[in-house]
Amino acid sequence: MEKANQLLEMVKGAMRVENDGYQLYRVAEEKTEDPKGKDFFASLAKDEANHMQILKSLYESIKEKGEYKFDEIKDMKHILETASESPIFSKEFKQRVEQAQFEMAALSVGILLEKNSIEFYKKSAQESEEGDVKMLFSYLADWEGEHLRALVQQQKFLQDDYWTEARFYPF
Amino acid sequence: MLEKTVQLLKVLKEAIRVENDGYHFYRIAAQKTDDSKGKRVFASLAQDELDHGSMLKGLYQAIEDAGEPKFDLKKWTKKKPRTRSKSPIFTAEFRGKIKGEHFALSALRIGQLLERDSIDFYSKNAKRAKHPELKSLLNFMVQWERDHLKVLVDLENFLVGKL
Repeated sequence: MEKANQLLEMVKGAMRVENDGYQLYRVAEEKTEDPKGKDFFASLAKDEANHMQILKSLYESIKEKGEYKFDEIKDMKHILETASESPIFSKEFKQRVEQAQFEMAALSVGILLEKNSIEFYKKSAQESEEGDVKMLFSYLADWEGEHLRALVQQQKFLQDDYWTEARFYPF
Repeated sequence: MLEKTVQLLKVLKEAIRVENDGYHFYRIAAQKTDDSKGKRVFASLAQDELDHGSMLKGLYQAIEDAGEPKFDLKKWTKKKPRTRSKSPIFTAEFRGKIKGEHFALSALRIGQLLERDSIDFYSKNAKRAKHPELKSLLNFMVQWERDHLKVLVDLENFLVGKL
């Protein structure tokens, strides 16, 4: 039972990590004016919501039955396979990038969150004794790694022009 | 321009970016939070980051104009943090209705990540800084961001019932 409790705590931590990402990307999607930027953040929010769904099922299965049924998780693999390709911010947006303070901040905060998630999942994977759980956490760590790469790519796409154009606005 | 000056400007530029991230994040958090006291806390954090950013930008421009890393630290560190642990906290009603997946909780945790990242950035650069005034300035920023971190940790603990 103690083992189940430890696993529950770990999954709960993972749900928190995913929820933080979901909340951030949802707000970023809402606040971004660029349509491609909106798609980009929406796609990240959707991924985090899917992760949450899987983790929630795992949590409920452990809580109700005192054990986890990975068959159910495996049935949800179709969710994980829907990961969309990251669309990018539009060229038009890049041209008026000096107005993009919020978007730049959202990308930086997203990068910080993804790094934190990767660290959390890698640590949890190392600490997990069950092979399937280990695999799930490693899988999530890899996926968050993809998010991190996508965010860094966006940041690079916009950053150089941003600082030149913005001259540190709003300060 | 001296290599030392170029290095200093680079650190300041990165510091402005760090403050910019915090400012925009807390501003949105203030807009999105339902609770009136919670709104005030996030708005106060946003204002602190805006003050930091303005101070760093002023310093950046002064050094860039002078072409050398000379500045009067006292002039740049007059402002005091407005957000303290004892500043307004979320209301008890809000705590009663909050659930695990609420935006405010995520915002508090994301804020903690931001503050830890800032502390790490300022500490690392304070250690490296050879210029004594710059070292003091960066240490001053470390302390200020630590105060913010404490506020955010206390607020999260309050909302999840640990306080």
